[in-house]
Amino acid sequence: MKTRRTANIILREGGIGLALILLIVFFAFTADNFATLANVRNILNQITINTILAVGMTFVILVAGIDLSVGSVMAFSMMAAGTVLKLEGLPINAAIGLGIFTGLAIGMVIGFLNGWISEQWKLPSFIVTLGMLNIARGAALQLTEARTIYQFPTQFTTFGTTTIFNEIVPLIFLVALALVGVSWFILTKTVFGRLIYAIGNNEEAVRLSGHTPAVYKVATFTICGVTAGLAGLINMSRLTIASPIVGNGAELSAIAAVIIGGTSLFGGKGSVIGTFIGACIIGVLNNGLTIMGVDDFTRQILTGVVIIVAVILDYYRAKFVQQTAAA
Amino acid sequence: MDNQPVLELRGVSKRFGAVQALYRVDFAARPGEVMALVGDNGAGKSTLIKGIAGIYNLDEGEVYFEGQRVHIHGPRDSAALGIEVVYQDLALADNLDVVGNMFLGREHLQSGLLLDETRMEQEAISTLDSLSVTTIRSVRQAVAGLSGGQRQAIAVAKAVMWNSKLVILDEPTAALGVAQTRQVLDLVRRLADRGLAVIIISHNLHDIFEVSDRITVLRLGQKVAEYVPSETTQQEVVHAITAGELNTVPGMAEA
Repeated sequence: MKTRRTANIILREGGIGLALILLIVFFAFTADNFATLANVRNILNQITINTILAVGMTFVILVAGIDLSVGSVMAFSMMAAGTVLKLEGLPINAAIGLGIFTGLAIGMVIGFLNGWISEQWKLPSFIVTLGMLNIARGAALQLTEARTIYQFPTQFTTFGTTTIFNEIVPLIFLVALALVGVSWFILTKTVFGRLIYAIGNNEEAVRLSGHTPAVYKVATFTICGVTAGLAGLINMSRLTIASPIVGNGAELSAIAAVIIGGTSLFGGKGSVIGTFIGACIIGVLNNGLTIMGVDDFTRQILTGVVIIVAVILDYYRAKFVQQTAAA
Repeated sequence: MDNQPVLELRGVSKRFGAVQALYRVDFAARPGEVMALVGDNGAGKSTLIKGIAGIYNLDEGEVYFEGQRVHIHGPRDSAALGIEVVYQDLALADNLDVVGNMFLGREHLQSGLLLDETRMEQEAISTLDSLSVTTIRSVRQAVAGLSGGQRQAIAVAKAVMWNSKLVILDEPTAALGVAQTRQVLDLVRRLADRGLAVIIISHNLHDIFEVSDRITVLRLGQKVAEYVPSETTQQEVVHAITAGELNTVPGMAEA
């Protein structure tokens, strides 16, 4: 029984993992300076934010929802946290603590609102979060009248700029990795996770089992909001500035990572491990193509092609799994 | 057969706006017996079982469970009493495996947090074995790949896992072929032989006569007859379903 489950997991994540490895091998041979330690650090830095956003997005998509507001929420959380960090008269550590709290709390509240409004009035989360995308972006711009905030305490920015293991692995990447691990644990080993998957497939079954699906669905949006807030804090710590235009379109990259990772937009199917690999694929592709001197426009076209090819491959994978299960 | 009913309804009524879905229905389910509930569409069969399951609150009447007056206000209340309902659409999550479905919403935990997969798997296997469900190849396969009969077997097995005393089956054979219907009816019989009280809703009188110990006929929200299959005929039951004598409901137009 155990081996069958393991085999299923390999079948599920293996294909996408293989695609990532092939991509890395391809660039290693064709792009000079791709396979260098410094570039590995670049890639890890580049995929951190998208990984964090995409992990939160995975929760929402697993219950067949979507959150278009994460890029804006990230910016709003960042601007609010940045404003708090610059408050006069607070001891530095208190300002940092309060700033982190503000960033996460804003993400949490907005995420909760996204979920609650969708459930309370039975609205598609696509619409609600589209509205929230505008609200949060407007709020981010309004907060400083579109000005960028500079010069944060070094105690705050050190974290985002520190690398370990021979200066290869950024600390912020480890945060993203830990988030992937914790989320994987929650989704596969706990009742909460089990119900998330069940809701994504058959909400009625969960209701009849005596649970209230709306509670769990709102929880996924809240989680997604918190990860957006976290992404904002980490982005601010890494770039050492807070700009209200950060994260424009970030929701689409996050959704792309989730989809490439094999999670179904219809809910109930997918994993955060797949999402992580999806984020890696987008990151490696962008990085490799840039190094090869491919221009921005072509890169964008190729990223789009990869997304479509990934879902087509997933279609065949699902068919294959069905056939082997039936055999 | 004069054993005390597990569940007894006395004079229960339910109204939806202008529709009198149930009117002063008396009904009982006894341990070791299969009670069939028959009636035309709109007779009140589903309303009655949803009332028992706590999905609808009954307007009037009394509910007794093992002789005690009870008030059932939701699926959790009925489950706590030992009432399990197998719904027509099965309420299975296709993406979860057999074990995940059998324990959905009532997962075993270890250290208060982790899903205890090993224990759940063992209990799922032993429950399926005890019901002689032999057609499930692996309890770790997703139910999406299972046949209608297998899915029904899992839904039934899920219902008997919880020390249940009363199992209600809503049209368990409606979507099944001949061989699979056979398997499910055998399974229903085995539930009663274990001492459970079973209520089965079906439109198929042939199945009903084969598996049930008593037949309750509902018509337009009222109970119009109760039969023992060996002492009646299908024609008589059909007559009751279509033309059974009704009491006048105060304030209602002639139906």
